Amino acid sequence: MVLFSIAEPGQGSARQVVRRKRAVGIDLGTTNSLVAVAKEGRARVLPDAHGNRLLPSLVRFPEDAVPLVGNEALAADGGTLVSSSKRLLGRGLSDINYPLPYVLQAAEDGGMVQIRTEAGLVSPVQVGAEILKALAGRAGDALGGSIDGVVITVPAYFDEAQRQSTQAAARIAGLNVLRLLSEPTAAAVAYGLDQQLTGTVVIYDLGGGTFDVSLMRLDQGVFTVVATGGNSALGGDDFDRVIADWLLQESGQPCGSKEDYRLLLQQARVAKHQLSTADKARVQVGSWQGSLDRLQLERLIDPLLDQTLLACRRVLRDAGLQVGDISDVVLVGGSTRTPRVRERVKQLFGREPLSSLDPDEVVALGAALQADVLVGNKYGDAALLLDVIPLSLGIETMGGLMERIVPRNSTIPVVRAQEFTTFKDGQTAMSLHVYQGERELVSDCRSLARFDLRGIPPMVAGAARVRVTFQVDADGLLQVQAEELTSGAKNSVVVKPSFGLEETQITAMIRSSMESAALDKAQRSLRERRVEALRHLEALHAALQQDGATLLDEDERGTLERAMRELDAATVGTDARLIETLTEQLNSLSRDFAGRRMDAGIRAALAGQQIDAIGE
Amino acid sequence: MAISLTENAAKHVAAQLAARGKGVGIRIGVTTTGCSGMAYVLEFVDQLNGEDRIFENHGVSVIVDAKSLAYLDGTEMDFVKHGVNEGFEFHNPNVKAECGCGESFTV
Amino acid sequence: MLNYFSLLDMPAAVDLDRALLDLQYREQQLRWHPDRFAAAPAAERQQALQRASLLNEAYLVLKTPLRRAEHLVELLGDGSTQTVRLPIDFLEQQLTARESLESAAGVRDRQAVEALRRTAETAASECWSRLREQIAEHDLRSAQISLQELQFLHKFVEEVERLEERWLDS
Repeated sequence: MVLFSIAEPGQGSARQVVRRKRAVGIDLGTTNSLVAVAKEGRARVLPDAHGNRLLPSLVRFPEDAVPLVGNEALAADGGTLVSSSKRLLGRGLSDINYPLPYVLQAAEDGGMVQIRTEAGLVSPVQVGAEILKALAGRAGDALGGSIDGVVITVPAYFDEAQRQSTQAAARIAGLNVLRLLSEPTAAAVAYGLDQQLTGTVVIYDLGGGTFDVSLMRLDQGVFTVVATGGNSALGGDDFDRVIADWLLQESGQPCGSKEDYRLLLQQARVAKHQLSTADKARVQVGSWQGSLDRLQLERLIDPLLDQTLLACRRVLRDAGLQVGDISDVVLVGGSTRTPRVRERVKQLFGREPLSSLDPDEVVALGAALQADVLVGNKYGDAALLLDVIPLSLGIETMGGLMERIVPRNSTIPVVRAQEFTTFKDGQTAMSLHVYQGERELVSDCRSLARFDLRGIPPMVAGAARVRVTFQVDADGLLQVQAEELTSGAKNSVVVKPSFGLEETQITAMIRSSMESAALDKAQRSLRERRVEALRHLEALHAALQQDGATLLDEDERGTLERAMRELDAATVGTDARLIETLTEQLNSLSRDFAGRRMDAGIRAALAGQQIDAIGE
Repeated sequence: MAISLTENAAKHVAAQLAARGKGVGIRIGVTTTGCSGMAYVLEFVDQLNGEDRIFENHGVSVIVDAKSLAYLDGTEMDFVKHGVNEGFEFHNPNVKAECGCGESFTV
Repeated sequence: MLNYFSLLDMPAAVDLDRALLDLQYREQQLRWHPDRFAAAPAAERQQALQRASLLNEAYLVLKTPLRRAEHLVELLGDGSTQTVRLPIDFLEQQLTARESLESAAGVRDRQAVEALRRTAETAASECWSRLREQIAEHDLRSAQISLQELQFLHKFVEEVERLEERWLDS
């Protein structure tokens, strides 16, 4: 709601109000992305101009032209079409052990992989930024102005590097990130607020490329994540892949080009979708024709589902709970539409899983509800989210061992400190290597960062006292500080994951994005003017229809209608200034009419008649 | 016909009047805006006009002109905190539609 | 040193009302969670971050009985970190119990393992009673000893549980 302050006499116009902030929730998915907005505790998905709610997470990079996103990318020709880029975020080349319909290249510094396109090498972060820009543009059009803040969802199981990469993508897209929110947590917010679900709930979230399971307690506006688990490289894409591989094997056809493989995957996906309702799907590879039935599909995907159920059991164990303690199971993610998934989940938990909110949309809806809270539009009965870190954080100690400093499932934000000491006489520096993971040996964990603490005064071994402090904020982002307590020597790093991006790289990407954004901005301003003009026209049109005949004489009405036609014509053009001027002109022309309507309204009210709404 | 303040709103109004050092109360009104909408007016009052009506609430005078009253009858003004923002909010039973930002409304 | 009991507005005692603790934690988090300060200036955000982190830590310590007792004893000793010497007969008992556990584990003698677990649990519950009295009487030295014994017994029970879990899994 709008808030007012008291003005001096004669100055209390509408300009005193605090504008309601525009905040949206974005589900940046592997296969599809979407954006939603909330108002007064209700969230809705914002469709594009054609009424599409989902934006395919596809970006095409043509030579010497701006990248195309979503259906536009799909429909166009030329240039590399990048799909499923979310799975590449914060990952090195050696992490990618499955085929993709485009070519990857290791970064020169050994960091995050890059994608070869006709427009040159592109980082997965830039791909994410393009998708975010498209969604923010869609939201801006629908809400009539630029977006003040966004909540972006990430899989709960996303590690530090993947979270940082998501944030970097948002920065490049020029968005103000209010919070990174775990996808299952967002889904729980939607169910908790929208459906008043309470109790101990398991959120089973199988998306295109990631699997997450979270165990949450929903209780009177406080939503606590008790434990979380999953696999950031397992999802519906893998269903397609095993089906595609089976098709190749059955047909005996050789695997051709990248493009052939892409088409094969597409066919696998179509067959998978068909089997959600039908018992059999026709398939064709080259000259070979065959069919895929449900039983075969189950045989193919069961090993993948086993992995997800194993993760569910582990989460239960982490939380110290039994299957019987669970009051509800919620299905999230498009891949839960596959009947076999539902069946296996039901078997494990012994109850029918909930999917009353669209599994494709529920995450974005929850994110929107939280965005509305965070931007300050709603406060009183807002939900409080207590999230956890998905993976343990620690540092390497002697012998390549992982010393855990913050164990997984710790509620965030969290600060933990631990003291270490020197192991050599006269040692003046200490190298700290930060890792994330559950294994005992650091070689089995993921390296996050390495930094040195210098200036330790020479002492005998074991005399120095180095305190290492880990701080994880509410977004799940880590900062590490080391301090020698006897001398006060200090060093700290905001952890930049090894597979993340350097600040200079991000800056360069922001710059190049801004160059293409100058054009964007002009277009945006034009769009905003248009939306505003159309809104005025619509309102005035409705008012004229209702009261035009009784309150205006013919001349007055003619003048107004001429001004309306002029403005209407201008909205088709590209001159933002003209639209603005004509809107202003129409505004002044119609002020008198508005005044008369008000007087008429009063007369009606005083006569005891019903005042009715004419709508916005 | 009446306009009311919540106790919390009255407390804030009284404090702001005291800080200002003069004024007989506050004025709540409506004015036309844009093509067909209306917007609220909220200001201090130093001098009353002929058509004004006065409503006493928790020791604070709320002044409304007759024209506006038709749109504001039954309205309650509250003082609220939304995140870091704080200010007055109107609960107006006559409002059937608000614009996206709540700045203007139609009846 | 920082008192987690007063931070969460709870009476400092070995036993506490869990429902009340949950309530206090919740109230405080509703006030201090960084999400409440998403639009606030950086300094306030930083303050909220620290306060909320502290609350999480305090809650974790207070809701875990052994860690709560450790904190209580630390408060009693005003943060002094003197090491205490455990009675020799307790250490001998522990050594014997550990040896028995190893041999029982080797032959998968579930009943023997269960018996060892029960003995440790009985000893722990006696230890808890002593600790309650010692804290009530501000007997720091004895409380430190009871606490250390408890830590030993706790670890022992944990080991038994891990062993049983491995048996369950295989």
